[in-house]
Amino acid sequence: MTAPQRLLLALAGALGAALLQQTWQLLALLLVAGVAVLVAAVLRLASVRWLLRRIALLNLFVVLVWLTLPWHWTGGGLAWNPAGVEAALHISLRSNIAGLLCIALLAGMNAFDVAAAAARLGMPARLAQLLLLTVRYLGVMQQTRQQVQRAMQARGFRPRCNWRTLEVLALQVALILVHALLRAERVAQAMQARGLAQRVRAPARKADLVGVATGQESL
Amino acid sequence: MSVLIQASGLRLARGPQRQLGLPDFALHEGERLCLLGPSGRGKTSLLHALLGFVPLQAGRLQVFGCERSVEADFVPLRGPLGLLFQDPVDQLFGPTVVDDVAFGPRNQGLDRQRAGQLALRTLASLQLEHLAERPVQQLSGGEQRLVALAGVLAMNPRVLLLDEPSNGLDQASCERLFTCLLETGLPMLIASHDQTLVQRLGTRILTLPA
Repeated sequence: MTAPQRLLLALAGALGAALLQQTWQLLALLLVAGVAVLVAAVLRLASVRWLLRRIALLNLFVVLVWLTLPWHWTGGGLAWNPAGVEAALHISLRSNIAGLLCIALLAGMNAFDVAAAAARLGMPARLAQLLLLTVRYLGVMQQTRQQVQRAMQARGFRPRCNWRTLEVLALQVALILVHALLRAERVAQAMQARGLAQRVRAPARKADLVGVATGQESL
Repeated sequence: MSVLIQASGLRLARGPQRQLGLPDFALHEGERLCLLGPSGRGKTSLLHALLGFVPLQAGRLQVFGCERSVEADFVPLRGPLGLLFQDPVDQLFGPTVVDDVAFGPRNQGLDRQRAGQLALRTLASLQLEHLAERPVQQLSGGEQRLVALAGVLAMNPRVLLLDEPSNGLDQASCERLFTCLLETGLPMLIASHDQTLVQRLGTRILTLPA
C-alpha cells in the first residue's frame, strides 16, 4: 500500500469511528482495527512489548475520561451516571479505533512521509509545511526547556513544595513561550530571506517539503 | 596552592551512542585556566558536567576536596561554582534586571527584600545600577553579559566557569568584561577561542586535542 493510501484509510477509519453511534458498530470497527494492528505487527516484525507500550500510552487519556465522566454530583454526593458511562465507553472505543488504525497504518512513517502523503492527497502546501515545522520545532522547544531548567539549577533553584516554586515554574513556562515566539519570528524572517514568499502559493512538491524537513537551525 | 577542581579520566556522554574523553586537569586557587580546542570538542560539556548537567560516564571528579559523581553531590555546587552560559539569553529570567540578579540569592534562602538589596549592591559593584529596572530583553549584548555575570556574582561564588565569555562582544564591551572579571579576583575556568581573552586573563592553558 502506498503512503497516501495508508493515510486515507486511517482517516476514513477515524471518520467512521466518529460517525458511528451504536456500541456494537464501534465494537465491530474496533475488532477490525485490532486485526489490522496484529497483521501490521506480524508483517513488520514489531515486538509485542512495543505494541503494548503504544496502546498503553494511547489509553492514558481514556483513563482520565473514566475517572471523570461516569460520575455526577447529586445533593448527597457522587453517583453513578448511566449516560456518562455510555459516553465514556464510546470515547474509549473511538479513541482506540483511531489510535490502533494509526499504529497499524502510519507507524514507521516519519513526519515527512505523513506530510508528503497528505500533500499528495490535496492538503494545502501551507498546512503540510506547518506540520513539518511543528515536528521540527517541538524538539527545539524541548531543548529550550532543558536550557532554561539548567540555567535555573545552575543558580541554585531546587523545586520544593512552596509558593516560590510555583512562581518559578510559571516563569519557566512563560520563558519557553517567549523563546518560542522570538524564534518563530527569526525563522519566518530566515524563510523569507530564502524566498519562501514566492512559493507559498505553489503546490507542495516533494522538493519543497524536503527543503523544510531538512532545514537546520537557520532554516 | 590548594586544589579546587581535579579531574582524571573523565568521559562524558555525547548523544545516545558517543562518548567524549577529556584530558586530566586541575584548577588551583588563584588560577585562571583557559580551555582551548576546536568547536565540538567538549568545552561546554565539561563546564556543564562540573555542575552535574552532563552525566559522567567514567573517571573521577573532585571539587572542593570531595568526590562528585551523582546528582546529590552536584546540588551544593550550584552557586559556589558560578557558571556564565555561552548565550546570556539562556541565563536571564527577568522580568527586570534587578529581579534577575536576585534570582540566585533567593534560591539561597534570602527573602525578597534582602535578595533585592544584594542584587542592587552587586549591580553597583559592576557599575550597572542604572540598568536595575530595565526589562532584560531591552539590554544590549554587552549589557546582557554583564548582567548575567552580576547574577552569578550575587551568589558569592568561589570559582567562575566562563563559557566563551567574550563571544559576540565589541572591543570596548570585552575590555569592560575583562576588567570586571579581573576585579573579582576569583579563580576561573574559561572556555574560549578568543586569543585576546586568553592573553589578558589566562594564567595557564589547557588544550583539548582535536
